[in-house]
Amino acid sequence: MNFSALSPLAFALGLAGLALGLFLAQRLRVRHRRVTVVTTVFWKAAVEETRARVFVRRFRHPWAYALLLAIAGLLWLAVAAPESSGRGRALHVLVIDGSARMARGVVTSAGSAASGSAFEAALEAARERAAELPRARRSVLLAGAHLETLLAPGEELPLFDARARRLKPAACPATLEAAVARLADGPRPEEGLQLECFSIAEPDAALLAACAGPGFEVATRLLACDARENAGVVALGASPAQSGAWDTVDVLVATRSRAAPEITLDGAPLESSEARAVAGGFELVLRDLPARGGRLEARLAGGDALGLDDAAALTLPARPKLRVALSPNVPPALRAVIERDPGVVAAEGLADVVVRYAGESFGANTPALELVDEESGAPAFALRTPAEAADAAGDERANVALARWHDELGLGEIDATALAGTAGRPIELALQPADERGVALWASLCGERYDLARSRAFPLFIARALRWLANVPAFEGTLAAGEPRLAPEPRWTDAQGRTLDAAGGEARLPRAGAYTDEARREHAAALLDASTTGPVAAPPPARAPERLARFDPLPWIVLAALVLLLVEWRLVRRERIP
Amino acid sequence: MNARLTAAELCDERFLASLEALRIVARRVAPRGRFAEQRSRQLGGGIEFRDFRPYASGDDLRAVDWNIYRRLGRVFVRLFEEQQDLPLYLVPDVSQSAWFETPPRALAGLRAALALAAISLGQHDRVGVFACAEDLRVLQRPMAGKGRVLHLARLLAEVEPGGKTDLVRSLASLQALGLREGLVCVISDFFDPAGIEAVLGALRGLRHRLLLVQLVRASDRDPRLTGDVRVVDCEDGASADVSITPAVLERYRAAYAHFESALTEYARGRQSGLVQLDVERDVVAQLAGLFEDGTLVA
Repeated sequence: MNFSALSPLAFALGLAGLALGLFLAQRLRVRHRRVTVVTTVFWKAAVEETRARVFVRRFRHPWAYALLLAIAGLLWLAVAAPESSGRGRALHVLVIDGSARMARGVVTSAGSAASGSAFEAALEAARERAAELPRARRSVLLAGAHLETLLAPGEELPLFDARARRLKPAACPATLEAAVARLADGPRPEEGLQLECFSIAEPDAALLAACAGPGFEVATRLLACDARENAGVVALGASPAQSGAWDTVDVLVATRSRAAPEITLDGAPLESSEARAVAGGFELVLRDLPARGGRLEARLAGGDALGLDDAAALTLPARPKLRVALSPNVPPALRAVIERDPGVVAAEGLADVVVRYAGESFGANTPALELVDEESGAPAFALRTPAEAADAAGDERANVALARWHDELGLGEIDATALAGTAGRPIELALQPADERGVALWASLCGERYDLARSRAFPLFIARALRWLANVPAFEGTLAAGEPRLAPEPRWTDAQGRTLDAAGGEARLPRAGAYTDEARREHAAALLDASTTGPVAAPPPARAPERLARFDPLPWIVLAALVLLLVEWRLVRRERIP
Repeated sequence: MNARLTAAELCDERFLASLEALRIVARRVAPRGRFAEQRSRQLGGGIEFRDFRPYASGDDLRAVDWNIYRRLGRVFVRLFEEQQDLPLYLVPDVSQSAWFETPPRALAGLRAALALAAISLGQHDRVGVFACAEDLRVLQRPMAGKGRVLHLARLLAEVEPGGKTDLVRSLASLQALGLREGLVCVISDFFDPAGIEAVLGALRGLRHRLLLVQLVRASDRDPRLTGDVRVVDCEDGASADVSITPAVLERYRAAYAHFESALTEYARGRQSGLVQLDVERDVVAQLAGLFEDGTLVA
C-alpha cells in the first residue's frame, strides 16, 4: 500500500495533527450552559461515578473522540489516496500521437470504417489503459505540436477527460519519436519507465533500439486506421528567380496525388508551364512570381484519408529593390559593382543605404557603407551596430554576433591572407558601437593596390553588406511545420500569440498555420510532410497490454467513513454521545 | 425569586373552611400540658372515665364510686383521663432554595404550615413556628387560640428568605430549646448539602413525634436538562459540569431514589407521618390525603 497524493510522513503528520486538533476541539467543545438548580447533590453523585473512566477531567467522551478520530482519519486517508502496490512499480507513461496523421479515420478490426478519427480512438484507448493502471504510477502525454501532459501521476481520470475534450490532431509531422527520445534522455524513476505509444504507426525501430535499456521499455498500441490512398501537398517553396530578377521568385509545388493541384496567388489561379508527373505525384514550377508578399496556395481535391495535407500555403517573400545613394567620390570599381546589382536602384533622395567616404556629410543618419583611409589606423573591416552588440562589445555575445555577421556578409570568401601580405599588417574585422548600422572598409581595398575589387568575393561582400545595412530579412523560401526556420531572428508569434521558442538558436514551426513577425507581416506555414501523406501500413493484431491487478481502496474508505458518520449521527440522536 | 408572600396568598376563607373537617389526634400527649382535647397519659380530673382503683388515704372522697361500695362493700375511686393539648412545632424551610423556582416551594410549605397550624389551633392545641435555614429562627413561641390563625398567616407572610439550607443545625437548635414533647412538623425539600443521612441523624435526635412534609416538584425526579450544562446550586453557588446522557440521567435518578427511600424508610421506622407535597398542586387537597377519615393520628 502506498499513498499517491501524500507521502507516508505527510500522512502520519496529518493524522497526528488531526488527532491533536480533534482532542483540543473535544476539550473546547464542552461549552457548558449555566443552569441554576435547587441542589447539585444528585448531579454530583451522578457525575462522580463517571469521573474515574475519563482520561482528563473535562474530556468526558473518549468513545465520541475515538469515533470522530476514526471518521477524520478515514477521510484523511481518502485524501492521501492510498493504492495497493500490485505487481510492478514502474512508471507507465502513455504517449498519444497527436500529429496530423492521427486525423485519419478509424476502422474496426474487421476493416470497416468506424466513426471518429484515429486520434479519438487513441484517446479512448489511452483512457482505458490509464484506468487500469495505479494512479500514482501513470501519466498520459500528448505528442502533438508540443509534448503536453494530459494526466500527471496521481491525478484523477476526470482531469484527463476535461483536458482531452477539445483536443484535435495538430497539423504537424509525427513527433512521437522525438517524444520517446526526449523521455529516454530525461530523468527516469528508480523503478523504471514503461512507455506505451498510441499511434497508427510504429516508432522508428532504430530509435527504439537506441533508447531501450535497463528501466526503459517502449511498447506501441497500433490503431487500425483508414489506409486508403491519400493525396497531399508534400513540398511548397520559393527561391530567388532563376531569371536573376531580384523582385521575383520561382516556386516549386510537389504533391503526392493522381491529379495536379489547383494553385492560386492571392486568390487568382495560376498556371504552371513546368508541370511534370513524378512517381506517385506531380511537381510544378512557377517562374518569376512577383516577390511582393502574396499568399500562394496549392490545393488538392479532398475526400481522401487525410484532409490536413490537402492544402498548403506559402507567403511569398517581399523583395523590393534597395535604394542606394552613392557619394560622387565613390571609387569607380565600387560604383560599378553596386550599379550592376539587380536588387539595387540608385536613389537621388530618400535612400535605404548610402555609400560614402568617412567624414562626408552625405546621407547623414542613414545606414552607410563607408570608405576609410587605410593610414588612419582603422581596421580593414568594421561593422557598426546600434543595439545589443554595442552594449555587449568585447564579451562573448559580441564575438558570437561578429562570427555570425562574418559569415552573413560573405567575409569568409575574401582572401584575408593575401590582403594582409599586401598591406603588411593584419587584416582586422572589428565591431564598433554606433547609432546606425554601418560597414566600414579601407578605401584602398577598392583600388588597384589590392586584388579584392577584382575578386569574385567583392560583389558578394558589397551586395550582402548593402542588404545587411538595409536590414533586409533573410529569404525564407519554405515554411514547413515541425522544421526550424532558416533564420530564428526576428522572432515570430503563432496564431495564439505565443512567441516561438528560439532556444538553441532555432525556432521550430510547431504546426501548419499562420505566424506573425515583429513587423505584423503574416507568414503561412504548411504541413509538407511526405511521411504523413504517404501510405500507412496495416497494423498487426493488437496485443493486449499486461493488466495490473489493482484494488482501489478509496471507495471503501469513503464508504466506511460514511457508515461511521451514520453511526455517530444515530448515537447523537439517541443521546449516547453529546 | 419571590422574596415575600402576602397573607392573602397564604390564607383565605376558603382555605380555612377546607380545613374544618381535619383533626390531629395524638396517641398520647406528654404530661404537664394544658387542658385541651388530646388524651394524656395522666389520670386525674378529666371528663373521660378511664379506670377504678382501691381507695387510698388522701383520695378525694368525691371520686369514690358509691355504687360499687354498695354492691361489693369495698371502696373504689373512679379514675378520669386528663385531656391536655398536643403542642405542634412547625419547622418550615425558608432557605434560599425554597424561594427559587416558580411557584416557590416556600409558598406551598408555608401554606401547609398554616393549614396544620389552623387545624391544631382549632383543637385548642398550642402551635409554635420555627423557621429553618442556616439556623433555626423562632417566629412564634407556642401559643393557643383559634383566633390566632390570621396572626400566624401574617407572621408567615412576613418571613424573610433565609440563607443556605442547614437542617442538621436547625434541628439541633430545635432540640436545644427544650420544648415540651409535641409534634414536630418539618416542612422542607430536605435537600441539605450535608446529605440525607446527616439530616436523618438530626431527626433522630429530636424527642418529639415527627411529621415530615416533603416539598417536591416533578423535575426533582426527572430533570429536563440536555446537552452540556453547568448546574449551579442556587444557595451556595457550588457547581458541577455535567454532560447529560441517558447514563448520567440514570445515575441521577438512582441517587434521587436513594434519597427518597432513605427518607421513607426512616419515617416508617419511626412511625412518623410523611407526606410528599407537590408544590405545583393544591396544598390542602394533598394534605387531606394524610388525614384518614379526617384525622391524623400523630
